[in-house]
Amino acid sequence: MQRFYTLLFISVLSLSTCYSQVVKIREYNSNNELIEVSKPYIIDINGRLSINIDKAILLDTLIGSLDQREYPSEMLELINQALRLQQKTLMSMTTTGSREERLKALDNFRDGMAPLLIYLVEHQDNLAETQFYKDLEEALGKTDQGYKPYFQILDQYYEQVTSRYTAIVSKSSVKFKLGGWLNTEKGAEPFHIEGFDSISSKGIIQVPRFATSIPQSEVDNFNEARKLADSLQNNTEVLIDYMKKRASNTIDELKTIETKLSDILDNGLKSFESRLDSTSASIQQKFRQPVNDLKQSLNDFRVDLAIVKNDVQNITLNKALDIAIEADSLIKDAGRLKIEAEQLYKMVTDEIAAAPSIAQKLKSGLTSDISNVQTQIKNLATEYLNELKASLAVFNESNITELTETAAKFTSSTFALGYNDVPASTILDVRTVGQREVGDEIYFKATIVRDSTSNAFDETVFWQKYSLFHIGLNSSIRASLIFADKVNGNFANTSNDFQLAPSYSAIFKIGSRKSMFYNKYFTPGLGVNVSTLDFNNDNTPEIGIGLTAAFFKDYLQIGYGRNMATDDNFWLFGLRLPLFGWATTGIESAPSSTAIQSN
Amino acid sequence: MALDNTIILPDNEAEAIAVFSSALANDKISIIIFGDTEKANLAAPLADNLAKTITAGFHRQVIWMKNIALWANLKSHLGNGTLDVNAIDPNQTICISISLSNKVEYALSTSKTPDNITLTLAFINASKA
Repeated sequence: MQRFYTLLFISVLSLSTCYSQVVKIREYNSNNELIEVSKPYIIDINGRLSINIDKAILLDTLIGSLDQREYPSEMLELINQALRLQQKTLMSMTTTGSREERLKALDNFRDGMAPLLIYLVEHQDNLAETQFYKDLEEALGKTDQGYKPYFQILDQYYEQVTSRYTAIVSKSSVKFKLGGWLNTEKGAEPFHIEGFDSISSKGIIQVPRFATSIPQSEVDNFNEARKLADSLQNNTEVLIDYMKKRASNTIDELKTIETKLSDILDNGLKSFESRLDSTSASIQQKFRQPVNDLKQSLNDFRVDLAIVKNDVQNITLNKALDIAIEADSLIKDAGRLKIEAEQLYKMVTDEIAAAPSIAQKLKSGLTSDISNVQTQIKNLATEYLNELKASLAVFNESNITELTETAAKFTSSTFALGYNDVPASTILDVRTVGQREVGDEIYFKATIVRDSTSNAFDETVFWQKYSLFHIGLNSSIRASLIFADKVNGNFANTSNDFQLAPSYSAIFKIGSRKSMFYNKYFTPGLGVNVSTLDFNNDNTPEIGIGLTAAFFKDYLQIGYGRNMATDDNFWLFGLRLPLFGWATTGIESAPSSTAIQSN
Repeated sequence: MALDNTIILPDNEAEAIAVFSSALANDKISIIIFGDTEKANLAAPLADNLAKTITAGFHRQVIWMKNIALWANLKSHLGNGTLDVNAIDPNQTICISISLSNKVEYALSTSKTPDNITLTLAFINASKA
């Protein structure tokens, strides 16, 4: 084989191509089966992880880090990949069945064959005279044997290279490191991974899945709720005024979005439509319907936005949940709008590309019109989503600062392992990473290092964050201030429609692996609410028991209950404390909006 | 040497259009070789041999457009895939890959040498719906 030499910077570049493949992390589910963890990388806070090191890819990576090597590690990895997919590729070639099945087989065939061949063609100038290239080229010509000769050559070659370099890598100064960090509000702390460091284990710390006692913080919140109920009992308007002040910023933003929407409809799209009128009948026919559909979607969005704005402006206690649901619906509308605008833009550009020359004179005008519309809609949808996230931030109690890769430093207890010493796998019990709460994060980093005076480097080959939540059924106990509305009749000795009361709710939820928004913000749950009421206003507490549905980290609750002493049914609307940082007691008027926003 | 899997387009435009249309309609994975140059004459028999391979029941074929002046009219029978059909310059291209829906998916530049590796890649890129 003809040797040739590759510059070190190419090997460093090559390392980045196998960034996420050297380390593979999977999770054991409740049935003790291994499952893949994909975006958004949510794992069970009390779970178990299987960490696997792909020694073949690690070897490719280490070979690539050496100054001199037979072939670039990128090509080695592509050969490795092609060999892994060999069986699937060969099977796809012989697929029979429906046309759809055979077309899918073509995709598999292409996925298995294309990456390496693309590389070889791209580097044909350098590789064409190598024996490897010549052998492979000859093998492909043996069409009577299909692609078996091709894979045989790949196999032989890969075996030869890795055998030759395994010994070299084992003796070289290139090492592998793997570390993990638990990131909480207090910062990041490294934790022990068996086989990769000598960090002391923190022992097993279980985060209870089901609340079996009332936390002290919730006892304190209950007492606050009791004092608030007493002070606001005859003055519920204070709370509504407070909520309106809080919502005033949101209303201003919604008005801005409304104005921009009108601009898109009255200017952007109108310009596109009038320009469209100048094109041929066939083009007009093609675009009329998609433009009308987009206009309809924009108008629908405008109508829904107006409803939300009106509800926020005239907010009442029993409308808060409706607003939350409408806001969620608007998120989906914004997402759909973006997609429709993108599709229309693509239609226009495809059509322009295929248009006869006579229509080319309109090309730049049409394209720029629809490009402007698309950009405006995209910005609008993004702005609305950002505004919503900012408003929802109050429901996210977490103040965790994201850990960056450069800030994640290995300790002196982390092993720098030679190739032969790297364990192929290890198990991590998440309960041993340290004191943690729902929403905390763990990070993993793997690097290739060489501590050498002339050729030192430190290259990250794996970096991944995982968020910790309860997966599946879990529960919590929350204190909240409820607004009870008797189903039949009024409260004694008062004209109030609502009675304020402190309560506890035991809420059951199901944690998700699929959605960060669901786990961090929306968090729907069902549970039982127990409150201390006084429907007959005789200062003797009555126990109310009801069913409640909770949303947004239990900050909003709605339910139905029964006063066990007076046998009255009631609707309840609940607010978890502390709400918007409003935890003071004996309040008779709402704090100023400035003070609220600073909380 | 017989090219059993190759359709050589006639020089006459009207006939070439008919042959080309018929070739595109027969649901085969296709590559089109341009010109009568040294590289085209090297590519054609290699591609013809590679066209013997059947993948997932789909056959392959080679369409050889020796007279590249035909391209100006014949390209309207093709659609834009990964590549824009109007961007193809037959003087700078050894061959192009045509998908089963007659879209242009890949072009092998004349800067490359046609061999079994480059032409296999051309067929692989044509192997799509």
